[in-house]
Amino acid sequence: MLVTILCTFLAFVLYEAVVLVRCVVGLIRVSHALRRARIILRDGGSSDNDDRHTFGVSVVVVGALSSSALESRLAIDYTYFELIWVADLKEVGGAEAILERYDMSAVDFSPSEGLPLQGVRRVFRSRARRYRRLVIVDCASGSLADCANCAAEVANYDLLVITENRVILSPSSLTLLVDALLRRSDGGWVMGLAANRLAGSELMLAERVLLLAGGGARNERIGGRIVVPIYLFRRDDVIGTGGFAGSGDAVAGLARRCAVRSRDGLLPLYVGEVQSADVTARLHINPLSGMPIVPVIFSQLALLWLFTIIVSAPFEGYFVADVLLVSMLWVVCVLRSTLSTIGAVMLASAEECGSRVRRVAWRIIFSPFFRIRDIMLPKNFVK
Amino acid sequence: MNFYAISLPILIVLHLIEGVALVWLLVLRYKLGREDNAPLRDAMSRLYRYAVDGVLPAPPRTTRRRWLMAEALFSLTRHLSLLSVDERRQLGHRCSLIYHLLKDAEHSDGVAQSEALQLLSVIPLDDKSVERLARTVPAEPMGQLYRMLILIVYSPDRVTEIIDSDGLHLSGYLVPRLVARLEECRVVLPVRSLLATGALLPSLVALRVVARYELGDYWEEVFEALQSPHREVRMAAIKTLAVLGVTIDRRVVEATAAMSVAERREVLRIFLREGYSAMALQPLSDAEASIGSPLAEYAVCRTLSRKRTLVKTL
Repeated sequence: MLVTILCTFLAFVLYEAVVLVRCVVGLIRVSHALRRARIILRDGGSSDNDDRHTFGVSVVVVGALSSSALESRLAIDYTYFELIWVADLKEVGGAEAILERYDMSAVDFSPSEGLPLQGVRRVFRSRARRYRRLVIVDCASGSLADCANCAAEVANYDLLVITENRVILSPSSLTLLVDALLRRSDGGWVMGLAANRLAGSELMLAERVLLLAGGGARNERIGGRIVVPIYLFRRDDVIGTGGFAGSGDAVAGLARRCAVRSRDGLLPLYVGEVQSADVTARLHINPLSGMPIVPVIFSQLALLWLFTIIVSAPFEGYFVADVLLVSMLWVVCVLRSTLSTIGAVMLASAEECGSRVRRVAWRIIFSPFFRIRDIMLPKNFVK
Repeated sequence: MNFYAISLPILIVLHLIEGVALVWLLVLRYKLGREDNAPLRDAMSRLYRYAVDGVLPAPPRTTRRRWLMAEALFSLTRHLSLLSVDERRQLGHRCSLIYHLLKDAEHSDGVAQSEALQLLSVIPLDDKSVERLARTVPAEPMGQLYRMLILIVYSPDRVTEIIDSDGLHLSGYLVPRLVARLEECRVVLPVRSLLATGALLPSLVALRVVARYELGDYWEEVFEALQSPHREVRMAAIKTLAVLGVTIDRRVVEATAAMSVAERREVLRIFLREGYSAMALQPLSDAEASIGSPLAEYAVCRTLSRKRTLVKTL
């Protein structure tokens, strides 16, 4: 029995130690990345105004959009970009009004890049010079891969950002993403993440921000929130690897294929938050790669089991030590959780940390108390 | 030995270390996210009063206030050009900005060093400071950029030598930023002598200048750059020729003949983006057709996919 407890405890300590090391390393990388972002933004980014020879970006949005959502996406604060909206216009309400509003007209579409194209009906460009950045692709296919291939086909610039209709890139986000990609002279790609903060537990989001799963990101629903990946590719890489393929995880699949060309697998991740579907996302930098969910559950269950064993084991004469040790364990775990939450919420939310942190901190402090109270039944303390 | 005596302290120490690390993150996040910071605004207002009324601000007493003053000086210089060279020099000495930023640049590395050099780039330095800076070689590209900028501004007649210095591997993507900063500092770049070096970075800088200001007088030198052994220089020369609107002749076709399919596609896209029609790109298309390349009809397809009125952007 003692050996079992010892092994479980050592496994728990080992896991916590690994998490701690990764958190510390991640925090150091975060601080460096935040500082680098300040240098870039203070200097005005990697593009200069009125200079067309900088790095143009084709921002691809897949999915239905309203007129106001489209308008807000045309206001990206990057000098040279084009917005490629790919959607099935028959399913989009008010598509005719949108086409008329932006003076769009259908152009001849001749595939020339050798990408697998499915379901492309028409491509629209605007007659009005002020809307020259907007390209609308009417694509019958609902697959993300097909939509992304269509966008790569018609894209004018050499960098592609693939987003979904729930995400709007925040000010300076393109600048940071482009800088991160161009610093990589050996190719590869960078990934940003936008997380919806509308519903669910901030704790879950905060923990996820700190312990984010690395590589092959996909849509995750965590505590009611959705973590949506944003990818920035070089268009040549997309064409060179034959375009996107598959369904669902298409973009991540291509990202994994492109990642073979990079020397290291460590990519800077930009974590942002979408306050609502139509509100600007803020991008921060979170280069942490996290742990799979199974060890997390295992460690929490192991801790719970340890509590149970400690309070129920008949250790003669160690009653006071039992209470003290359990209390210390509880305090330490609550302290860790509180600080993790505070730190992660601070990382994930710049302006709103004050009141939210207080609410979350109280919730963290008191909820374990009620859970442990159920475990630590009064009768266990009667000798 | 008691089981708890062994394992519990380890667990507690680990958690406390994690807690310390996270508290450090809170402090760091507070420091780095202070866009709406009262001390920063105070530093800005002091500098503004100095520029308008000539009231020299008192030297900052803490490291943080000194750093804020350096940030404020950088912002005001870059975006408003309020202070003259002499005023900035006087401020740099009185508030010990030069001394401390130079010390940070010498004793730190990575991004911290780059940030110190960035803030130092708007303060005129004296000879001794420049000598110390010349001995500091940052590893970060941004740090190299600002170091180069400071050295060039200090001695503009040695610009070719500085840009062509050994050991500097400034990434090509930072060249536009370097040229833009040098333009702000009113440094005239000798395009011909930079191109004559044949080295990577000077050639990229020179081609960037030619493209940015559309200097048609240098098109012969740009054609010669097509023969450069560096791929980046060749592609930059192609972009520059496209900007200059030159007629595509056999020199361009010969230069692209040795390129890979992906590079030739990029060349076609560069010309198309600059407004070349399919007819203007006929020499390249014919060269592609002669080797049976799939890019033979690329220019025609891309042109058909666009409205004529959207071909050229200013």
